[in-house]
Amino acid sequence: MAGGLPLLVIGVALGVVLLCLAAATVGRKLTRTVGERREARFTDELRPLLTRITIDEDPDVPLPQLRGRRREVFEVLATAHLAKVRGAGREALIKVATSRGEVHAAERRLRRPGVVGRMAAIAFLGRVGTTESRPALERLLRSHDPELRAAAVRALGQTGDPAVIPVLLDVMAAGRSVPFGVVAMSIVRIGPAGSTALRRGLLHDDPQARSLSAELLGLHGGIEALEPLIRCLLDDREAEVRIRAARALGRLGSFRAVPALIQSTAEDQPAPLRAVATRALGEVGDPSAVDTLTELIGDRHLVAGNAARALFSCGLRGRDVLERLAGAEPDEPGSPYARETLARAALDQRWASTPSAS
Amino acid sequence: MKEVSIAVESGFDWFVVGYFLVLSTMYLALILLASRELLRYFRRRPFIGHDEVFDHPLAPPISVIMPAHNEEVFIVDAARAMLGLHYPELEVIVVDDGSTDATFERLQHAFDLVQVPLVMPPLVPTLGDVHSTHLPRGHEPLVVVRKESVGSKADALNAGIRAAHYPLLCMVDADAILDPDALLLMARPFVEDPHMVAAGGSIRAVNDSTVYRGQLIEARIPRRWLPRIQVVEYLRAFLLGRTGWAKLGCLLVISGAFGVFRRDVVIEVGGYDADAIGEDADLVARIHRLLLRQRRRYSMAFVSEPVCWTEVPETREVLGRQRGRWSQGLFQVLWTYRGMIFNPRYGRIGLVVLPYFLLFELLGPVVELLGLLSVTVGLALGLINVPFAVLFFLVAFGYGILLSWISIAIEEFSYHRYPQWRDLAWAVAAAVVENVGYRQLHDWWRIKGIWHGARRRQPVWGVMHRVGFTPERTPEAKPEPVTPPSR
Repeated sequence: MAGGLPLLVIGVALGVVLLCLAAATVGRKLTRTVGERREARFTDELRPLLTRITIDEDPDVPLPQLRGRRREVFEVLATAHLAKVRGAGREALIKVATSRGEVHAAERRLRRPGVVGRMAAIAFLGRVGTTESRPALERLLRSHDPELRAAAVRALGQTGDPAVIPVLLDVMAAGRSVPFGVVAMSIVRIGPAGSTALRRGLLHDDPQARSLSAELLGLHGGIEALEPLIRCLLDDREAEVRIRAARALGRLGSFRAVPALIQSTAEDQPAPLRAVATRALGEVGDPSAVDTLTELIGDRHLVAGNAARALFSCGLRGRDVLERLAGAEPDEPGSPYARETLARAALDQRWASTPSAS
Repeated sequence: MKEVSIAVESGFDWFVVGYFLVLSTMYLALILLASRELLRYFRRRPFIGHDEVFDHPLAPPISVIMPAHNEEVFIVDAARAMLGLHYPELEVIVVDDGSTDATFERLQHAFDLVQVPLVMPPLVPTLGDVHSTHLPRGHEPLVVVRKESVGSKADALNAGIRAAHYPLLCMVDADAILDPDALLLMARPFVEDPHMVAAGGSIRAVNDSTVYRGQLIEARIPRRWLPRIQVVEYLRAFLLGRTGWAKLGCLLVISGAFGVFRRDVVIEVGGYDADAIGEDADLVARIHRLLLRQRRRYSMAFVSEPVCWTEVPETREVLGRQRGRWSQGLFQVLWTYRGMIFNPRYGRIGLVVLPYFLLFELLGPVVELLGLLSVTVGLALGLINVPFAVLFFLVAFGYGILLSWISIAIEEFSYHRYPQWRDLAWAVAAAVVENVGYRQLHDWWRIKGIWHGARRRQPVWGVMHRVGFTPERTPEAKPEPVTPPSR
């Protein structure tokens, strides 16, 4: 049935593979143990020096020769320090890194083939945040590797330069794109300085870019973002963009948005938009929305729940409506939601001002 | 006559050898695919913005749903551990599924619960009546739902879904130990991919590991052989198998012990099926069926990072019942979704995954035990020669040991969660010992499960004696929950 020689070959081959596997595993465990000890030693040596540079704001703190593994450890520690410190301490550390040739070395590594090395260099350059590194980082947005592109997007956001926002918005629509969430986080890091670029982003051809611009204007937009967002809420052809504009208007909390938000709760509007607009009316908390919200509390679950919470936020008139409904028959539309809202509010007044995120 | 017997015997044995060869080679391919993915991820991990989700203003809030039946010993610690997870916005919904012990009273006392008439819209069906809903007087984002038990974990989960407010649902067992960053890691695929509908987490055995205040301090290989072998099994099947399937876009099982789903999709498919024995696989299969029928673009991810730790059975009886139920659940899923098998309309799920589960996962134990029996009898009767028997054992067991060792090596090259040399040695030994006795017993339990599935018998739950963890050893013998333990 089975010959002796082929069997021997199979058995020996299996044995050799198992032995190699065992040797590789043991070898890996050994090298890892040795490597971790070495890394810990370099970390113990360099960390206090970097802390001194940033705390004393002194770029002349003597550092040992940075080569091989020690240089890698320096880069990791410097990246971590730069994420935490601001001002003169940060400048001192950047000066040390630049004078030691670390910034140029990182830029050179961006052109090398190893992805992990490039990602480390990208993270470092992002934290250093010099404008000279920007073109190199932007070139990486066209990389084949999606994680490399995402790392470049993160680094560009870390530079804090609002000029990168149009580039970042474009990258979502590019052939080699970067996920919405990664771009969002990157732009969030830029903060209110990016508001002008984001307002322009509301006119972008790509609906994802418009959605993201709307969403982030709600976080950092300020009063000047109101009108563009209202236009977006009423006129954009994509429901997703309108939903995010409604959410942003709720976050901005201006009563000027109330008529547009009320308009967006109409029955002929998409259901998710109606739910978000209802919630946004609660975040604005303007009593002029009470009549609309009273009608909406009898609507479908998501809208009704948000309407109940929104009514609670609309002052005494809204609470009167809730109390009247809570006292009504249980099958009266909106009555269970009113009871829940008032019970929750009695338990914790602060809850009612934090509407559900659903 | 003898010639005919030899021909039949030989034909069947060659079929079994071929079957093992195909099965193990497919598994090897999956493991190699997974290893590439794992090692790649592991090397890039420091630079992929792990901390990002925590600061992300657009991170989707999560409702953590934790069904509990007679969990008075663990429930308060479990709820506190869930409330303490690192995540920007979450609510924890504990569903007290008709507990007859002091589960609710312990929660009420610990969190100062107050009855509040929460609206629980009938978004998904529930069989057991909801008695009451409770919120804590403090500011913890905790909701406790008390409901009548119908002996179904799925029904308790559905009640939790009805009470949930947030766009992501995390289903977790009350006795699971999660890493503090577990939700951040699981939410990441949803932040990055708008088409993500579900993500499964890697499950590992926690027996004899050091656990302090609901958190894993040091992972250890268990002292007893039965859980020790399960550690290797979990590494091979759950970590590498599922990573490989996920890489192919073919994830069929997201463990009930820890999985995250998009709420709207779960509601769209009607929630969990209260009659399903393997409710976790059933839900995932239903999601695949709906989204593939509607030709919608979607993805499912598997988070390989070890984030969920669970106590595995330490006795043959409990393990046998557990594995029997898993097999019964698999049989039920394959039967329920038989229309998808070999159906090109369902793409890779219909043409690859379900046939694989049918031919290899479900029928594997039958073929293996029959093959073993046939070779033993054939050898005794002189129908087959010794070299063939050796070949059979090499293919069946040698290949199996190789797969397990590769899994251990990949764990060592990547997450390296068992730092001690002794643990590595025990794991390597367990991969060999597994093939002598355990594997055959396991096949037998699975065959019994298939038989029960075919006869539509209700699964037996019995009592699981939880041993607890080092140094927080809990000596109490605790009834095994009516809700099935997770896969």
